[in-house]
Amino acid sequence: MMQSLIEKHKIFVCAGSGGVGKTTVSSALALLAASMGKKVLLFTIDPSKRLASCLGLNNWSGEKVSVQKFENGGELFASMVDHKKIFDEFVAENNSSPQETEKMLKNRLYRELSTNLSGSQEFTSLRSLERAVDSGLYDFIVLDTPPAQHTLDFVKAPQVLFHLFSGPVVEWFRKLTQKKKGFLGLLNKGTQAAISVLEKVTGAEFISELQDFFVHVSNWSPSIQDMVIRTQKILMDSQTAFLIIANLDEARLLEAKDNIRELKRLGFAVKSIVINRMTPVLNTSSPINAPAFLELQSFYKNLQTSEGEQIQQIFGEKIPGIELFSLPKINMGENEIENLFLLAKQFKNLS
Amino acid sequence: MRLANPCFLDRINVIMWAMKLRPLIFITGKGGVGKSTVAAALAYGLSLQGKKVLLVELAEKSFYEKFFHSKSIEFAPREIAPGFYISLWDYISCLREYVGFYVKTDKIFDLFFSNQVVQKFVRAAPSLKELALLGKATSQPRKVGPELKYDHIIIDSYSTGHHKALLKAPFGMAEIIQRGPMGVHSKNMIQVLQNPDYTQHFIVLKPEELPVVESLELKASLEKEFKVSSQFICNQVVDYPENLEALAPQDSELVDFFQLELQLQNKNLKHLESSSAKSENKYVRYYFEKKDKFAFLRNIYQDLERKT
Repeated sequence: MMQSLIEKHKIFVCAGSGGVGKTTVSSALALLAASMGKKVLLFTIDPSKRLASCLGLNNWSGEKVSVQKFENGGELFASMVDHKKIFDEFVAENNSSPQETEKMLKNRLYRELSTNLSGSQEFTSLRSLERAVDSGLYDFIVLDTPPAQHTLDFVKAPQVLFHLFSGPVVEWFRKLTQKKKGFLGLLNKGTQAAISVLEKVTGAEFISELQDFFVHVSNWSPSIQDMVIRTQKILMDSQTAFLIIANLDEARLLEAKDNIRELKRLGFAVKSIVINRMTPVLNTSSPINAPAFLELQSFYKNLQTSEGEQIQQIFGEKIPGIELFSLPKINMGENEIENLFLLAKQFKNLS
Repeated sequence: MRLANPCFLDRINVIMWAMKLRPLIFITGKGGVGKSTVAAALAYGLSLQGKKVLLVELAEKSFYEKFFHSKSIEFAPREIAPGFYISLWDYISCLREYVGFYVKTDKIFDLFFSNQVVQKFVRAAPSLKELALLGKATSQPRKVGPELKYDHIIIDSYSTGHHKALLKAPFGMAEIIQRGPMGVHSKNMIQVLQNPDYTQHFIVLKPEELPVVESLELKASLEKEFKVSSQFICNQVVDYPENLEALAPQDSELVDFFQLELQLQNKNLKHLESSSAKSENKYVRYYFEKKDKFAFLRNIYQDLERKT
């Protein structure tokens, strides 16, 4: 049962490739947990404000809001990660002076690319997660991960960012600044060669902008390092479970299986795969005999056979430690929160 | 929605469609709409017409390797069927090729790429990945790097947001950096991306609410931000039985469920067509994915070349 998986954990991280209904499934999970009497926070990263419509929130700014209360004391809160705000706060906190902050925010490369930095969305989500955990206000947190090119981007992002802001790269550019002032000797032969190649293929102007950028961000290095360690701890906690959300798509499911192996190797606990939008089980018996109905029956039968075969082919062999759940395709319609709760009750264990 | 079966005159449309296809084709769309399948169908269909086609995936791990149950797919193109090649472009390989174009000495080249700092820097530096990939995609007309001798290069690109970030890279860079190789290359990349005689952009979607909304937004923003026009390919249009609407729903759960599905599909198609000319869109029917992937792709390709 999904309920027992919820009971055993405090945080669910919902990962999976785009378009599988990750936000809907995350919302359903959070609602289910709240219905069990827990104080639940649902965190999402959603530029299209999909969650708002999913939860029936109109004109939602993304601030934390109570979505649903249950008689047993359970309550669902939702909150959206505001990337720009969190990133700017981070810049302000980690620069020595307001002048420094202003200088940083004026750097053309930063301005153009900071929101595009590899891992910046993941970074801000993790920072929000950490704050929510520290607040101690919630029994259960569901994190809907940002849309990623690859499922693993989310867990790898902090290290990527860390590499960007940590010692060697920043040092390198620091020395480059000094080189201009005549400290050539500080660089070893390999680095000298590397810089000359970099300058040759990108141009001096690019290098000088980059240099500015890296020297500025060097201030962040210690804070980022701390944060990487703290969030890794949260993500690797025994009460944190990763759930892979997927659709029935052979190649993508094979990919999901690889991702699970990789996540496990990295030390993250994947506990479940949820296959969303399965064709619902429908009663096919009917007195109708029209050709259109017979055609529909055969289409439905083909859909079911095709889905059954795929499940068998991919999950015929059980993956140890992973529970396989399915959710049927439903039409959310106008009354979203009620339909969402209806959906939440339909997690079906296939394993 | 029913799509007409092809008749003799339709051959003309088929030929017209193939003629209108450009050397460089980007395929994007919301996640889960079947971008990769449509891209593969297009590539395979064109190869059946005698074209030499390179299908490119931008990922760390190959999707098509699993899809075709093929031997490993890497940077070096693999011929999957006669004239149909697949290649997986990772930014490191693209960057190596680009740097190799400038740095002819192997020793310096190796020194550069084996440098630990360079490795870390390349992994995290803003926009560098995107520029490396787009640099390779547009290398032929810019005459940079090794020749790519294909009639068509089809890029199975990222989904919406990441695709926009990919395209944004040269625009952002060209604005910041005016001089030197980085500035010049970025400007030239933009020219290729915006040239309608060389580059084509397709947005794949499904007749579902979110994909339609996202695709309409994407088309508008590609136009506005990058001055690039694009065309919709509506995938997985379910060919429901005729007269389904006339059946009485109260007698059957099945009818009830699919009538609603049909209503939604029609509503979403209408929404799509309210902001895009139906005749310019392509519609692909829903096909069950069978073991024989080539037959599956052939079906999709036939719908692609058909006039709406």
